[in-house]
Amino acid sequence: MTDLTKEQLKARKKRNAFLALGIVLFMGLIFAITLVKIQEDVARDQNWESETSGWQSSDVAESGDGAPVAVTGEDE
Amino acid sequence: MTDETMTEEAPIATVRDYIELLKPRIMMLVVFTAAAGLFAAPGQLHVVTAVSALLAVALGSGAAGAINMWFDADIDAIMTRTSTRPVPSGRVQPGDALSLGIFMSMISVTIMILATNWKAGALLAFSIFFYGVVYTMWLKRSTSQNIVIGGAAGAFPPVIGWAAVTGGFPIEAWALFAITFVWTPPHFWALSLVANKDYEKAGVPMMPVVRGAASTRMQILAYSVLLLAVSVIPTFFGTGGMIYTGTAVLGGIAFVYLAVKVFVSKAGDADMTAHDRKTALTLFAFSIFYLAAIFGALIIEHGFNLHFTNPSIAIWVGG
Repeated sequence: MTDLTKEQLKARKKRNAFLALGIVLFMGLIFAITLVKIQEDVARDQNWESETSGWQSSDVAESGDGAPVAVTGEDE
Repeated sequence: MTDETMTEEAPIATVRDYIELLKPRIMMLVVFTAAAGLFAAPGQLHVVTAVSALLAVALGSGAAGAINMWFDADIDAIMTRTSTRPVPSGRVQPGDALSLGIFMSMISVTIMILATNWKAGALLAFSIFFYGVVYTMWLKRSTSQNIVIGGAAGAFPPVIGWAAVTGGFPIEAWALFAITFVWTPPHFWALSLVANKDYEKAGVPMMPVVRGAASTRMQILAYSVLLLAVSVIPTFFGTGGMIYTGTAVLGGIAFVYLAVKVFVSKAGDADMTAHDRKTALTLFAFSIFYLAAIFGALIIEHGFNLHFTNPSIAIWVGG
């Protein structure tokens, strides 16, 4: 194994420090992306729930018997 | 020679050398054009997603640059302009450059897919492949049309940015692609007119080497006129508003004016004067400013809500 000079050791340490920083930043980025994706999914689920609950309650009110009614245009 | 003297003489690779491998100036322009696509596309991205997408594009650009530097080390060593690059100078080992390029390619595509969608990731992967393999390994050394076709690699970023937002590649995005695609030949040939001796020495079939300086100057002018026409296409699609259109038209006219000056000069000829050389380099420098200006105009319009279109012009998309 060859001995490294002081300058070479210093340069290697600096490169390693940048590599470590890069890995930490990458981990942080993936974590942040995951949080955003979860946040977006939760928001989408909430929207879907509020939309479908509104749809069911109005259908219940129109049909009078509590059963959801498919919109086929047959009533007209 | 002892091990000690060998280590004393061995060049030391610094962090700066690895950054140089990534071609940071090209990376900045690539990220900027990708940001323009991101802003101009209809829809919104979370700020973390948008930053991640731009980071992925930056890493992808750097990866392609590292692969290019690895493969071109032999011709870079011959050319004066590139002989001090990290690989030909021996500061970075060729294998290290290649490893960095491949590793960063994978990281960049992974980030893009995780943050946005697989279509944007696939186009990013294709653009890295196109620059690193199709252009660098094949076109560059085989045809004088190398940078005409290879220019596509640098033109993909706005389409990638658009796909990151919408998940698709509509024609409006390809209009932005066309601008960089047509911009690349006059941009690069302006530089190669003054560096043609270098390319000739390295055996790279650049246009001035193969077809001569006069033919290259004429083609620079032809592409500049075409660029002026292509740059207003986003206006008709409604992508570009008043600010963009003004910048594109004024910038395009200035571009053509400088191309005319190059056309009537002797840039690239054996009896080229210092003034001719300066004329070609002025066009090269202006071309960078021009691209930054028109994509910057798109970012300003869409990012700061200053996007005003003329309904009678922007009819194709109902603008």
